[in-house]
Amino acid sequence: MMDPVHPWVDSLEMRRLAEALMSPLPTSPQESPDAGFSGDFVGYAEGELMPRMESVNASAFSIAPLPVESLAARELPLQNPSDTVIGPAQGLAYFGEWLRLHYPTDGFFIYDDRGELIFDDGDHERFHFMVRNLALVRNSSSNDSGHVRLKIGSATLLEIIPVETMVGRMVLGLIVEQPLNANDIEALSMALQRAVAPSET
Amino acid sequence: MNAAFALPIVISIAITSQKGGVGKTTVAINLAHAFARAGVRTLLVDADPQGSVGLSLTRQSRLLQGFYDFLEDPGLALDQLIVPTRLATFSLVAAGQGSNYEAGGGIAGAHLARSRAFMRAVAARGYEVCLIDTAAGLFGVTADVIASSDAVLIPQQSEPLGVRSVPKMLEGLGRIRMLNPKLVVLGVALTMVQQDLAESREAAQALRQLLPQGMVFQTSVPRDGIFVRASAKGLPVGVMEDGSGAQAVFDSLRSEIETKWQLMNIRI
Repeated sequence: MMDPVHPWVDSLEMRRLAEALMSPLPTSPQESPDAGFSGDFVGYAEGELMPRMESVNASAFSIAPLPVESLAARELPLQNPSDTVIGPAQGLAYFGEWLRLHYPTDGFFIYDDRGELIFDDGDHERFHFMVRNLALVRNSSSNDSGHVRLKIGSATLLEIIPVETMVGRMVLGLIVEQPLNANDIEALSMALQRAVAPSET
Repeated sequence: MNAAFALPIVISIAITSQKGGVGKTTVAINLAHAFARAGVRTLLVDADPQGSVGLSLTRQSRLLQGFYDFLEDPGLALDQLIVPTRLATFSLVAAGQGSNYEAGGGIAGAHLARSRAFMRAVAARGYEVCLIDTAAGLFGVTADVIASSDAVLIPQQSEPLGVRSVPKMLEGLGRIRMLNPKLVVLGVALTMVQQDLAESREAAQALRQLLPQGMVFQTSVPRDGIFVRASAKGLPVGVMEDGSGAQAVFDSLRSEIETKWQLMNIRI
Protein backbone atom coordinates (compact mmCIF):
# COMPACT_ATOMS: atom_id res chain seq x y z
CA MET A 1 0.00 0.00 0.00
CA MET A 2 1.27 3.48 -0.85
CA ASP A 3 2.54 5.53 2.07
CA PRO A 4 0.13 8.52 2.25
CA VAL A 5 2.52 10.87 4.06
CA HIS A 6 6.24 10.22 3.77
CA PRO A 7 6.60 10.68 -0.02
CA TRP A 8 5.02 14.12 0.34
CA VAL A 9 7.25 15.61 3.00
CA ASP A 10 10.96 16.10 3.48
CA SER A 11 11.33 14.17 6.72
CA LEU A 12 14.72 15.58 7.64
CA GLU A 13 13.69 19.16 6.97
CA MET A 14 10.49 18.68 8.92
CA ARG A 15 12.41 17.25 11.86
CA ARG A 16 14.91 20.11 11.70
CA LEU A 17 12.14 22.73 11.74
CA ALA A 18 10.36 21.01 14.60
CA GLU A 19 13.48 20.62 16.71
CA ALA A 20 14.36 24.28 16.15
CA LEU A 21 10.94 25.23 17.48
CA MET A 22 11.38 23.12 20.58
CA SER A 23 14.78 24.61 21.36
CA PRO A 24 15.41 27.97 23.04
CA LEU A 25 16.39 30.70 20.60
CA PRO A 26 20.05 31.74 20.74
CA THR A 27 20.57 35.10 22.33
CA SER A 28 23.20 37.59 21.28
CA PRO A 29 26.27 37.74 23.52
CA GLN A 30 26.40 40.26 26.33
CA GLU A 31 27.97 43.52 25.32
CA SER A 32 30.60 45.33 27.27
CA PRO A 33 29.10 47.36 30.11
CA ASP A 34 31.76 49.99 29.64
CA ALA A 35 30.37 53.19 28.17
CA GLY A 36 31.81 56.61 27.61
CA PHE A 37 29.99 59.82 26.87
CA SER A 38 31.47 62.29 24.43
CA GLY A 39 31.29 66.03 24.64
CA ASP A 40 28.27 65.84 22.39
CA PHE A 41 26.14 64.63 25.25
CA VAL A 42 23.61 67.31 26.11
CA GLY A 43 21.59 65.40 28.65
CA TYR A 44 18.59 63.21 29.13
CA ALA A 45 15.25 64.60 28.14
CA GLU A 46 13.05 65.68 30.99
CA GLY A 47 10.10 63.54 31.88
CA GLU A 48 9.64 59.81 31.70
CA LEU A 49 11.92 57.82 29.46
CA MET A 50 9.37 55.11 28.83
CA PRO A 51 6.10 56.46 27.47
CA ARG A 52 2.88 55.06 28.86
CA MET A 53 1.76 51.89 27.10
CA GLU A 54 -1.82 53.11 27.13
CA SER A 55 -1.11 56.10 24.89
CA VAL A 56 -1.85 54.24 21.69
CA ASN A 57 -1.13 55.93 18.42
CA ALA A 58 -3.19 53.78 16.11
CA SER A 59 -1.79 55.34 12.96
CA ALA A 60 1.68 54.23 13.93
CA PHE A 61 0.57 50.65 13.47
CA SER A 62 -0.64 50.95 9.93
CA ILE A 63 2.56 49.33 8.82
CA ALA A 64 2.69 48.96 5.10
CA PRO A 65 4.12 45.65 3.87
CA LEU A 66 7.82 46.09 3.38
CA PRO A 67 9.35 44.82 0.17
CA VAL A 68 12.26 42.98 1.66
CA GLU A 69 15.37 41.87 -0.20
CA SER A 70 17.77 39.26 1.00
CA LEU A 71 20.51 40.37 3.36
CA ALA A 72 23.36 38.00 3.98
CA ALA A 73 23.98 37.71 7.68
CA ARG A 74 26.83 39.92 8.88
CA GLU A 75 27.34 41.36 5.42
CA LEU A 76 26.52 44.97 5.96
CA PRO A 77 29.67 46.70 4.73
CA LEU A 78 29.75 50.45 4.43
CA GLN A 79 30.67 50.87 0.78
CA ASN A 80 30.79 54.62 0.77
CA PRO A 81 30.46 56.65 3.97
CA SER A 82 28.58 59.39 2.17
CA ASP A 83 26.03 57.12 0.54
CA THR A 84 22.59 56.66 1.95
CA VAL A 85 22.30 53.11 0.66
CA ILE A 86 24.88 50.63 1.78
CA GLY A 87 26.00 47.96 -0.62
CA PRO A 88 23.75 44.91 -0.59
CA ALA A 89 21.75 46.18 2.34
CA GLN A 90 18.74 46.92 0.22
CA GLY A 91 16.50 46.06 3.12
CA LEU A 92 17.85 49.02 5.06
CA ALA A 93 17.11 51.30 2.14
CA TYR A 94 13.54 50.08 2.08
CA PHE A 95 13.32 50.59 5.81
CA GLY A 96 14.58 54.14 5.35
CA GLU A 97 11.90 54.85 2.77
CA TRP A 98 9.25 53.40 5.01
CA LEU A 99 10.48 55.38 8.01
CA ARG A 100 10.52 58.70 6.14
CA LEU A 101 7.01 57.98 4.91
CA HIS A 102 5.57 57.23 8.32
CA TYR A 103 7.52 59.36 10.80
CA PRO A 104 8.51 63.01 10.73
CA THR A 105 12.24 62.91 11.34
CA ASP A 106 15.21 65.18 10.93
CA GLY A 107 17.46 62.23 10.28
CA PHE A 108 18.38 58.74 11.35
CA PHE A 109 21.24 56.29 11.36
CA ILE A 110 21.84 52.65 12.24
CA TYR A 111 24.71 50.75 13.89
CA ASP A 112 25.30 47.04 13.85
CA ASP A 113 26.21 44.94 16.88
CA ARG A 114 29.92 45.55 16.37
CA GLY A 115 29.42 49.26 16.79
CA GLU A 116 29.89 49.98 13.08
CA LEU A 117 27.81 52.50 11.21
CA ILE A 118 25.80 50.71 8.54
CA PHE A 119 23.36 53.43 7.51
CA ASP A 120 23.24 57.20 7.73
CA ASP A 121 20.76 59.32 5.83
CA GLY A 122 22.70 62.49 6.42
CA ASP A 123 25.61 64.03 8.26
CA HIS A 124 25.18 62.97 11.86
CA GLU A 125 28.77 62.29 12.75
CA ARG A 126 28.62 64.37 15.89
CA PHE A 127 26.21 61.87 17.41
CA HIS A 128 27.92 58.70 16.34
CA PHE A 129 30.43 58.27 19.15
CA MET A 130 27.82 58.90 21.78
CA VAL A 131 25.25 56.60 20.23
CA ARG A 132 27.75 53.82 19.65
CA ASN A 133 28.79 53.87 23.26
CA LEU A 134 25.27 54.01 24.54
CA ALA A 135 24.32 51.22 22.21
CA LEU A 136 27.00 48.95 23.58
CA VAL A 137 25.43 49.03 27.00
CA ARG A 138 22.63 46.54 27.20
CA ASN A 139 19.73 47.69 29.30
CA SER A 140 21.52 50.85 30.31
CA SER A 141 18.27 52.71 30.66
CA SER A 142 15.54 52.22 33.21
CA ASN A 143 13.31 50.30 30.85
CA ASP A 144 13.64 46.76 29.52
CA SER A 145 13.86 47.69 25.87
CA GLY A 146 17.10 49.62 26.25
CA HIS A 147 15.48 52.62 24.63
CA VAL A 148 17.14 55.91 25.55
CA ARG A 149 15.99 59.44 24.76
CA LEU A 150 18.40 62.35 24.72
CA LYS A 151 17.67 66.03 24.43
CA ILE A 152 20.09 67.31 21.80
CA GLY A 153 18.66 70.75 21.17
CA SER A 154 16.04 73.16 22.42
CA ALA A 155 13.37 71.39 20.40
CA THR A 156 15.14 68.27 19.20
CA LEU A 157 15.38 64.80 20.65
CA LEU A 158 17.52 61.84 19.77
CA GLU A 159 15.77 58.50 20.23
CA ILE A 160 18.15 55.55 20.52
CA ILE A 161 16.42 52.24 19.96
CA PRO A 162 18.24 48.90 20.22
CA VAL A 163 16.63 46.29 17.97
CA GLU A 164 17.32 42.55 18.05
CA THR A 165 17.22 41.36 14.44
CA MET A 166 17.91 38.07 12.72
CA VAL A 167 21.30 39.38 11.63
CA GLY A 168 22.23 40.62 15.08
CA ARG A 169 21.60 43.52 17.35
CA MET A 170 21.18 46.90 15.64
CA VAL A 171 20.81 50.35 17.10
CA LEU A 172 18.58 52.90 15.45
CA GLY A 173 19.24 56.57 16.14
CA LEU A 174 16.36 58.83 15.21
CA ILE A 175 16.26 62.64 15.44
CA VAL A 176 12.77 63.90 16.13
CA GLU A 177 10.96 66.93 17.48
CA GLN A 178 8.24 65.00 19.28
CA PRO A 179 9.04 62.04 21.54
CA LEU A 180 8.10 58.61 20.26
CA ASN A 181 5.68 56.58 22.31
CA ALA A 182 6.01 52.91 23.13
CA ASN A 183 3.90 51.87 20.17
CA ASP A 184 6.02 53.92 17.78
CA ILE A 185 9.13 52.25 19.12
CA GLU A 186 7.64 48.80 18.77
CA ALA A 187 6.50 49.53 15.21
CA LEU A 188 9.93 50.86 14.22
CA SER A 189 11.64 47.86 15.77
CA MET A 190 9.39 45.42 13.95
CA ALA A 191 9.86 47.19 10.64
CA LEU A 192 13.63 47.11 10.98
CA GLN A 193 13.52 43.43 11.96
CA ARG A 194 11.49 42.62 8.87
CA ALA A 195 13.61 44.74 6.59
CA VAL A 196 16.83 42.94 7.42
CA ALA A 197 15.41 39.46 7.82
CA PRO A 198 16.83 37.11 5.19
CA SER A 199 14.19 36.49 2.56
CA GLU A 200 12.84 32.99 2.11
CA THR A 201 13.48 31.04 -0.99
CA MET B 1 0.49 45.52 48.51
CA ASN B 2 0.30 47.63 45.38
CA ALA B 3 -1.72 45.66 42.85
CA ALA B 4 0.59 46.74 40.06
CA PHE B 5 3.38 44.70 41.63
CA ALA B 6 1.27 41.65 42.35
CA LEU B 7 -0.07 40.62 38.99
CA PRO B 8 -1.04 36.97 38.94
CA ILE B 9 0.72 34.78 36.44
CA VAL B 10 -1.47 33.96 33.47
CA ILE B 11 -0.57 31.46 30.80
CA SER B 12 -1.89 32.48 27.41
CA ILE B 13 -2.16 29.68 24.88
CA ALA B 14 -2.98 30.34 21.23
CA ILE B 15 -4.82 27.45 19.59
CA THR B 16 -3.72 27.69 16.00
CA SER B 17 -3.14 25.77 12.79
CA GLN B 18 -2.02 26.32 9.24
CA LYS B 19 -5.06 24.58 7.81
CA GLY B 20 -8.72 25.25 8.53
CA GLY B 21 -11.26 22.69 9.68
CA VAL B 22 -8.91 20.78 11.96
CA GLY B 23 -10.98 21.18 15.11
CA LYS B 24 -9.41 24.27 16.64
CA THR B 25 -12.65 25.57 18.05
CA THR B 26 -13.65 22.17 19.44
CA VAL B 27 -10.28 21.90 21.16
CA ALA B 28 -10.42 25.49 22.43
CA ILE B 29 -13.91 25.24 23.90
CA ASN B 30 -13.51 21.86 25.52
CA LEU B 31 -9.98 22.40 26.75
CA ALA B 32 -11.04 25.70 28.30
CA HIS B 33 -13.95 23.93 29.96
CA ALA B 34 -11.56 21.27 31.25
CA PHE B 35 -9.34 23.91 32.86
CA ALA B 36 -12.34 25.72 34.34
CA ARG B 37 -13.81 22.47 35.72
CA ALA B 38 -10.51 21.89 37.48
CA GLY B 39 -10.92 25.20 39.28
CA VAL B 40 -8.54 27.20 37.07
CA ARG B 41 -9.77 30.73 36.33
CA THR B 42 -10.07 30.47 32.57
CA LEU B 43 -10.78 32.95 29.79
CA LEU B 44 -11.64 31.67 26.33
CA VAL B 45 -11.07 34.28 23.64
CA ASP B 46 -12.49 34.07 20.14
CA ALA B 47 -9.88 35.55 17.82
CA ASP B 48 -11.31 33.82 14.76
CA PRO B 49 -13.15 36.29 12.50
CA GLN B 50 -15.70 33.57 11.85
CA GLY B 51 -16.66 33.86 15.51
CA SER B 52 -16.93 30.13 15.95
CA VAL B 53 -16.59 30.09 19.73
CA GLY B 54 -19.31 32.68 20.11
CA LEU B 55 -21.54 30.93 17.61
CA SER B 56 -21.05 27.70 19.50
CA LEU B 57 -21.64 28.96 23.01
CA THR B 58 -23.75 32.13 22.93
CA ARG B 59 -26.82 32.87 20.89
CA GLN B 60 -26.25 36.62 20.86
CA SER B 61 -22.58 36.43 19.84
CA ARG B 62 -23.10 38.63 16.76
CA LEU B 63 -24.27 41.44 19.03
CA LEU B 64 -21.42 41.27 21.49
CA GLN B 65 -18.37 43.49 21.45
CA GLY B 66 -15.25 41.42 21.52
CA PHE B 67 -11.62 40.87 20.71
CA TYR B 68 -11.62 42.64 17.35
CA ASP B 69 -13.27 45.70 18.90
CA PHE B 70 -10.53 45.75 21.53
CA LEU B 71 -7.90 45.72 18.79
CA GLU B 72 -9.46 48.70 17.08
CA ASP B 73 -10.55 50.83 20.03
CA PRO B 74 -7.88 51.83 22.56
CA GLY B 75 -10.64 53.16 24.80
CA LEU B 76 -12.28 49.77 25.21
CA ALA B 77 -11.52 47.89 28.44
CA LEU B 78 -11.40 44.12 28.81
CA ASP B 79 -14.12 44.25 31.47
CA GLN B 80 -16.57 45.48 28.85
CA LEU B 81 -16.02 42.35 26.77
CA ILE B 82 -16.15 39.53 29.28
CA VAL B 83 -19.14 37.19 29.07
CA PRO B 84 -19.56 35.07 32.21
CA THR B 85 -20.85 31.50 32.06
CA ARG B 86 -22.68 29.32 34.57
CA LEU B 87 -19.31 28.04 35.66
CA ALA B 88 -17.76 30.73 37.86
CA THR B 89 -14.24 29.96 36.67
CA PHE B 90 -15.12 30.08 32.97
CA SER B 91 -15.56 33.32 30.99
CA LEU B 92 -15.59 34.18 27.31
CA VAL B 93 -14.64 37.03 25.04
CA ALA B 94 -16.47 36.94 21.70
CA ALA B 95 -14.87 37.88 18.38
CA GLY B 96 -16.81 41.14 18.22
CA GLN B 97 -17.97 43.66 15.72
CA GLY B 98 -14.78 45.45 14.63
CA SER B 99 -14.25 46.24 10.98
CA ASN B 100 -11.50 43.65 10.84
CA TYR B 101 -14.01 41.10 12.03
CA GLU B 102 -14.85 39.70 8.61
CA ALA B 103 -11.60 40.56 6.87
CA GLY B 104 -9.38 38.59 9.18
CA GLY B 105 -7.37 41.48 10.51
CA GLY B 106 -5.07 42.53 7.68
CA ILE B 107 -1.30 42.32 7.76
CA ALA B 108 0.75 40.91 10.60
CA GLY B 109 2.11 43.46 13.04
CA ALA B 110 -0.73 45.91 12.61
CA HIS B 111 -2.34 44.81 15.87
CA LEU B 112 0.62 43.53 17.81
CA ALA B 113 0.63 46.30 20.40
CA ARG B 114 -3.10 46.02 21.11
CA SER B 115 -2.88 42.26 21.19
CA ARG B 116 -0.15 42.50 23.83
CA ALA B 117 -2.21 45.08 25.71
CA PHE B 118 -5.06 42.58 25.70
CA MET B 119 -2.84 39.91 27.28
CA ARG B 120 -1.70 42.35 29.95
CA ALA B 121 -5.30 43.19 30.74
CA VAL B 122 -6.11 39.48 31.04
CA ALA B 123 -3.28 39.06 33.54
CA ALA B 124 -4.40 42.09 35.51
CA ARG B 125 -7.95 40.69 35.64
CA GLY B 126 -6.73 37.66 37.57
CA TYR B 127 -7.15 34.87 35.04
CA GLU B 128 -4.82 31.91 35.27
CA VAL B 129 -5.25 30.48 31.79
CA CYS B 130 -6.26 32.32 28.63
CA LEU B 131 -7.01 30.17 25.59
CA ILE B 132 -7.26 31.99 22.29
CA ASP B 133 -9.02 30.35 19.37
CA THR B 134 -7.40 31.84 16.26
CA ALA B 135 -8.23 31.86 12.59
CA ALA B 136 -6.44 29.34 10.39
CA GLY B 137 -3.16 30.45 8.80
CA LEU B 138 -0.20 32.11 10.45
CA PHE B 139 -0.69 35.67 9.26
CA GLY B 140 -2.63 38.83 10.11
CA VAL B 141 -4.19 39.00 13.55
CA THR B 142 -3.39 35.34 14.15
CA ALA B 143 0.33 36.05 13.84
CA ASP B 144 -0.04 38.98 16.23
CA VAL B 145 -1.92 36.84 18.73
CA ILE B 146 0.76 34.16 18.64
CA ALA B 147 3.46 36.81 18.95
CA SER B 148 1.67 38.01 22.10
CA SER B 149 1.05 34.62 23.70
CA ASP B 150 3.12 32.50 26.06
CA ALA B 151 2.48 29.29 24.21
CA VAL B 152 0.94 27.75 21.16
CA LEU B 153 -0.98 24.51 20.78
CA ILE B 154 -1.52 23.08 17.31
CA PRO B 155 -4.53 20.88 16.62
CA GLN B 156 -3.76 18.69 13.63
CA GLN B 157 -6.32 16.66 11.78
CA SER B 158 -5.27 13.03 11.58
CA GLU B 159 -5.41 12.61 7.84
CA PRO B 160 -2.71 12.62 5.14
CA LEU B 161 -3.42 16.03 3.65
CA GLY B 162 -3.28 17.63 7.09
CA VAL B 163 0.08 16.09 7.86
CA ARG B 164 1.50 17.36 4.58
CA SER B 165 0.73 20.91 5.69
CA VAL B 166 2.82 20.55 8.84
CA PRO B 167 6.18 21.74 7.39
CA LYS B 168 4.60 25.02 6.30
CA MET B 169 3.13 25.46 9.75
CA LEU B 170 6.49 24.81 11.39
CA GLU B 171 8.13 27.39 9.13
CA GLY B 172 5.46 29.93 9.96
CA LEU B 173 5.81 29.38 13.68
CA GLY B 174 9.57 29.74 13.34
CA ARG B 175 9.11 33.17 11.78
CA ILE B 176 6.67 34.33 14.44
CA ARG B 177 9.00 33.08 17.14
CA MET B 178 11.51 35.68 16.03
CA LEU B 179 9.04 38.27 17.25
CA ASN B 180 8.31 36.34 20.42
CA PRO B 181 11.43 34.38 21.40
CA LYS B 182 9.80 33.20 24.63
CA LEU B 183 7.00 31.44 22.78
CA VAL B 184 6.65 27.87 24.01
CA VAL B 185 5.46 25.34 21.44
CA LEU B 186 3.36 23.04 23.61
CA GLY B 187 2.91 20.65 20.76
CA VAL B 188 0.61 19.09 18.24
CA ALA B 189 -2.71 17.59 19.33
CA LEU B 190 -4.07 15.04 16.89
CA THR B 191 -7.75 15.58 16.17
CA MET B 192 -10.52 13.78 14.30
CA VAL B 193 -8.69 10.52 14.76
CA GLN B 194 -10.60 7.58 13.26
CA GLN B 195 -9.24 4.33 14.56
CA ASP B 196 -11.42 2.40 12.14
CA LEU B 197 -9.84 4.11 9.13
CA ALA B 198 -6.37 2.97 8.07
CA GLU B 199 -5.42 6.34 6.49
CA SER B 200 -6.27 8.17 9.68
CA ARG B 201 -4.29 5.75 11.85
CA GLU B 202 -1.32 5.90 9.49
CA ALA B 203 -1.34 9.69 9.37
CA ALA B 204 -1.27 9.82 13.17
CA GLN B 205 1.54 7.30 13.27
CA ALA B 206 3.52 9.16 10.60
CA LEU B 207 3.29 12.44 12.47
CA ARG B 208 4.51 10.85 15.67
CA GLN B 209 7.47 9.40 13.74
CA LEU B 210 8.30 12.58 11.86
CA LEU B 211 8.20 15.02 14.76
CA PRO B 212 10.55 14.96 17.75
CA GLN B 213 9.54 12.91 20.73
CA GLY B 214 7.28 14.89 23.02
CA MET B 215 6.08 17.29 20.35
CA VAL B 216 2.90 15.31 19.69
CA PHE B 217 0.55 15.00 22.65
CA GLN B 218 -0.18 11.47 23.81
CA THR B 219 -3.83 12.42 24.07
CA SER B 220 -5.65 12.49 20.76
CA VAL B 221 -9.16 13.69 20.04
CA PRO B 222 -11.36 11.18 18.22
CA ARG B 223 -13.84 12.05 15.51
CA ASP B 224 -17.14 11.69 17.35
CA GLY B 225 -20.68 12.80 16.75
CA ILE B 226 -20.91 14.11 20.28
CA PHE B 227 -18.91 17.19 19.27
CA VAL B 228 -21.46 18.03 16.61
CA ARG B 229 -24.33 17.48 19.03
CA ALA B 230 -22.65 19.58 21.73
CA SER B 231 -22.04 22.40 19.27
CA ALA B 232 -25.68 22.27 18.16
CA LYS B 233 -26.77 22.77 21.75
CA GLY B 234 -24.17 25.45 22.45
CA LEU B 235 -22.43 23.40 25.12
CA PRO B 236 -19.00 21.98 25.88
CA VAL B 237 -19.09 18.17 25.59
CA GLY B 238 -18.48 17.84 29.31
CA VAL B 239 -21.96 19.05 30.17
CA MET B 240 -23.68 16.72 27.72
CA GLU B 241 -25.46 13.76 29.31
CA ASP B 242 -23.26 11.26 27.53
CA GLY B 243 -20.20 13.51 27.44
CA SER B 244 -18.08 12.03 30.20
CA GLY B 245 -15.92 10.01 27.78
CA ALA B 246 -15.19 12.98 25.56
CA GLN B 247 -14.58 15.15 28.61
CA ALA B 248 -12.01 12.65 29.84
CA VAL B 249 -10.06 13.24 26.62
CA PHE B 250 -9.81 16.95 27.34
CA ASP B 251 -9.03 16.39 31.01
CA SER B 252 -6.15 14.25 29.83
CA LEU B 253 -4.99 16.95 27.38
CA ARG B 254 -5.17 19.55 30.15
CA SER B 255 -3.10 17.34 32.40
CA GLU B 256 -0.46 16.89 29.68
CA ILE B 257 -0.30 20.65 29.13
CA GLU B 258 0.16 21.33 32.83
CA THR B 259 2.96 18.80 33.01
CA LYS B 260 4.65 20.17 29.89
CA TRP B 261 4.34 23.71 31.13
CA GLN B 262 5.95 22.88 34.43
CA LEU B 263 8.81 21.08 32.71
CA MET B 264 9.34 23.79 30.10
CA ASN B 265 9.04 26.58 32.59
CA ILE B 266 11.94 25.19 34.52
CA ARG B 267 14.03 25.16 31.36
CA ILE B 268 13.09 28.66 30.21
